Amino acid sequence: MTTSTTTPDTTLTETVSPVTKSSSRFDGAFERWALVGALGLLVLLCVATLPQFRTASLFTTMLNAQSLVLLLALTATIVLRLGDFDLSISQTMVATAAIVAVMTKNGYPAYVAILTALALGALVGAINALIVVRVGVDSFVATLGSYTALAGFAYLITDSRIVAGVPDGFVNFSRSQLLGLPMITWYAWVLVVVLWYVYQRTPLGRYTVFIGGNRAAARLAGISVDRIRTSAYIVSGLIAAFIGICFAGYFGAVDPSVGAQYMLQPFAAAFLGATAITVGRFNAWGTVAALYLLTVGITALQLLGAQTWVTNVFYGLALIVSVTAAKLVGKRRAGART
Amino acid sequence: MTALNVVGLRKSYGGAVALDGLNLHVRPGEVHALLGQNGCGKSTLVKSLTGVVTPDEGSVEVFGRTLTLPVDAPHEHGIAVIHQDIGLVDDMTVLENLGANARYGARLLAPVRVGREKAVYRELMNRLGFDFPLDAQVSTLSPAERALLAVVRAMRLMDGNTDEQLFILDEPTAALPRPEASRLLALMRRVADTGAGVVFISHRLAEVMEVCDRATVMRAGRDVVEVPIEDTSRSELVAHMLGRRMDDFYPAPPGVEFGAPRLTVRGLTGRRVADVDLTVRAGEVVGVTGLAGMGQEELPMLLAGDEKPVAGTVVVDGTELRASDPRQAIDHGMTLVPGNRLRDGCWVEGTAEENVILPVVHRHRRWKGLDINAMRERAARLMTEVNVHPNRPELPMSAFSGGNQQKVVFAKWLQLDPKVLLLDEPTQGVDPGSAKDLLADAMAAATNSAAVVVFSGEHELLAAVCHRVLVLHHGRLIDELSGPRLTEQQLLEACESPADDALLATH
Repeated sequence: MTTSTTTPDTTLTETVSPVTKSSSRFDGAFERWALVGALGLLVLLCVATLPQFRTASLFTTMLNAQSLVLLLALTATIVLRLGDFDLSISQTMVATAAIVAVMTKNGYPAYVAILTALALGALVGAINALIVVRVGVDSFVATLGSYTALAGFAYLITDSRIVAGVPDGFVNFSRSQLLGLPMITWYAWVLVVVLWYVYQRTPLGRYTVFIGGNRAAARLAGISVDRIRTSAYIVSGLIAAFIGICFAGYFGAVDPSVGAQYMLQPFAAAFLGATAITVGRFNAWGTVAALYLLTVGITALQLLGAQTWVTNVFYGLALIVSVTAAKLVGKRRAGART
Repeated sequence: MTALNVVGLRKSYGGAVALDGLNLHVRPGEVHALLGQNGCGKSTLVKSLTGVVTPDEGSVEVFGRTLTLPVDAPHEHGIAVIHQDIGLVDDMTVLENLGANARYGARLLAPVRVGREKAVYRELMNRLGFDFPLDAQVSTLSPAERALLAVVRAMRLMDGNTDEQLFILDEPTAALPRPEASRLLALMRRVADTGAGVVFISHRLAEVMEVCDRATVMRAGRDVVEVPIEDTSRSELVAHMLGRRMDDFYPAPPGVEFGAPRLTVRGLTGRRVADVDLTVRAGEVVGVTGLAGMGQEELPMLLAGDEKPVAGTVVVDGTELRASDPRQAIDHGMTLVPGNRLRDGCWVEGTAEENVILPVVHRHRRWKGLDINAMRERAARLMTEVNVHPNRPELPMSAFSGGNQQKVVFAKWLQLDPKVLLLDEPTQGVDPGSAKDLLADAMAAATNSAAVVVFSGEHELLAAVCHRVLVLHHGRLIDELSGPRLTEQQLLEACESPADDALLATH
C-alpha cells in the first residue's frame, strides 16, 4: 500500500493543547483562593454558632497569640523555598531569648544582649549553611541536629530554670500597642509584606523558587545557587534571633523547655500556605491564611470544650493534610501533559 | 491474531482531546513503528496501555485477550514498556537498579546471590555488546549509559519466555549515539523474531526505515496511515506526521565568512576528556561526536563551567574564563543548552515564563518591583519567535511536549544573543518538524556571527548542519572531518574504528 501526501493542516497543533484556556483559568482561581475561602467560611460558621466569636476581643486575642508562630512560619518559608529545611528556627528563638533574659539579669546593657542574640542567630545560620551547602548533608537531618543542640544550649545558659524579670524595654518592644494591636503582631505583618515583595516582585524571589525547583538548572543558568542558599540560612537564623528577642519581651520570662511547642506549627502553616495564592510555592500571604485558618479552627474547638491535646492533634493532622494537598495539586498540574 | 489491537481509543483532558479514536494493529513477530509529532498523543497511548491513564472509550486487545480498562498490572498481561530513562534510582548502583524488578518470588527473604546476579547481567550486557561496571553509581552514568541500563533491565524481564508478549520501546535510542543505537535495533529485531510484538516509538526515521516492518503515523490523536516500511519513504512519513511536506530534515550551515575566533580551548582536561584543543570562529558551526563514554557528554559541562576542569583554559572573545563559574561564562556570552533537559535544562514544574525569563529577570527590575506584565509579554514574544505551541507562558513546562519544552530552553538562551552557543544533543526526543525549527534557530545565531558547537551522537544531523566535526576517542580529539569527508558514513567509521595514526597520536 502506498499512500499519497496528505493535505496541509497547520492548525492541528492548536487542537492538542493540553488544557483549554477557560478551564485552566477557573481551576487556577479555585486553587488560589480555596484556602482563603475556607478561612472565610469557617469564620462565618463560628460567628453564626459560637457567641464568643461575636466579640472583637476574641479576634485580637487570636491575632496576638499567634504572632510568634506567624513570624516563625514566615521565617520557615525562606529556606523551604530553596528546597531545604531549617528546622532549627524554633530553638534558635528560645536560645536567643534565653541569652537576652540571662544577660540582662546579670547586668549587661540591653544592646549588648541584643547584639549577642543576633550574633548567635547568624552563627547558627552560618553553621547550618556550612553543613548543608558546603558539606552537602541533607538539610532535614543537619538542622534537626542543630535544633537539638540549641535546645541543650538553652538549658545550659538558663541552668534549666525559667528565667524571669526581662527588662521593661523588651516587654514594651513586644507588647506596647499600636492601633489596638501589640507591636509583635505588627512585626509579623511587616515581615509578611517584606517577604511578599521579595518573593513576588524581585529577581531574588524568582531565583529562590527556581533553585527550589531545579538546583542544577538554576546553577547552569548562572544563578549563584550556593551563595543564595548560604545567605538564606543566615537570614533565617537572624530573623529567628529577632523573634527570640520579641519572645523574651512578649512573655517577660524565658522557659528553656518551650522550643518543642513551636517546632511543628510553623511548618504546618508554611506547607498549608503553599497550597494557596501562588499555588505550589511557599509564599507569604498563603502562610498567613493557613495559619489563621488553623488558629480559628483550634480556637473554635477549644470553645466547644476540646482539651489542650486537641491542638497538637489538629496541627499534626493539618500538616499531613496540607502536604498531601500540595502533592495532589502538584500531580494534577504535572498530569496536564498530553 | 494480532499482538496488539487498539480500536477507537479516546481520551480527553478537560476540553482537550489527546486521543481521538485511535486504531493500532501490531502483528506478532514484527517491529512496528509508531510515529508522530511531539504532542500527537503517543505518550497518552503508552500511558493508556500501562494503566497510568484511563481511556474514555475504546478497546485494547493483547494476543486476543481483551484487557479491562484501566489496565491493571501491565506486565501480567505481557506488556513491557521501556522508557528512555524511567525508574532508575540515582543513588543506587547499577546492580541494585537492575535487581529492582527481578522476580525473586519465594526467595524474597533469601540472601541475594550477588555473584550469580552479576554473571546474569554481564551476559545480558555482552549480548548487547557493551560493558560498564555493575558497582558504579547510576548518578555517574551518562544519558547514553542510562538508556542502555534501562534496556538491560527490561531485557531481564524479556529473558526466558518472550512469546505472547508485547514490548513498547518509547524512544529507547533517543540518547544513544548511532553505533550503540544500532545494537539496540538489532536486539529489537531478535526479540521480534521470537514471536513477540515490538512497538518502536522514535523520531529517528533512519532507524525506523532500517529496522521496522510497518509503521503507523499518528496526528492529533488519530492514526493517519498504516503502511509497510518498504512501501514508503522518510519524506512521506514526515509528510504524514506534519500534515505537510518538508523538503529537508536539517537546515544547511550558514555560508557566511568566518570571523575572529570566538571560543578558544587549550589543553582542557576533566574526568573523561583530556587535553582538548578547540577553536571555533564567529559564524562557524562545529560538531563534536564520539561513542558513549568517550567524553562528549562531559565536554559541554566543562565548557559551561558546571564542572571544574583538572587543567586547561577556556577563552571567549579574548577573555579567559574562571574555572567552574557558569555565571561568568554566561556574562561573557557563552550559553549551553544541556543534553538532559529535565535534569539540567529547565524547571519542569515552573511555568514556561519563569523558565524563559530566568536569565533576564534582573532587567525587569523597577522601583516598585518586577514588571510582571513586561515579563509576560517578553515570554510570549520569545515563545512566538521559536514557535512554541501552545503559546501560553503561564502553563507549567510539564504541560508542553518535549519538542516545545526544548524550544523554550532554546528561547531562554537565544534571547541573550550568545557569542558562543553550546548545544548538547539539541534535538533529542524532538520530532522532525520541531528539530528543524530548533536547528534553524541555531543556524541563524551562527549567521549573526555566533560560534556554534553541537555535541551529538547523531551523525546524520552533524553531517548536515556542521562545517566540520571533531571526533572524541577516550576523551581525546583524534580526528576532524570536513568538506567531502563530512558524511554520516565517514563519521560513523571515524567513531567506531579510528584511524591508526590518529590513535597513535593519543598514546
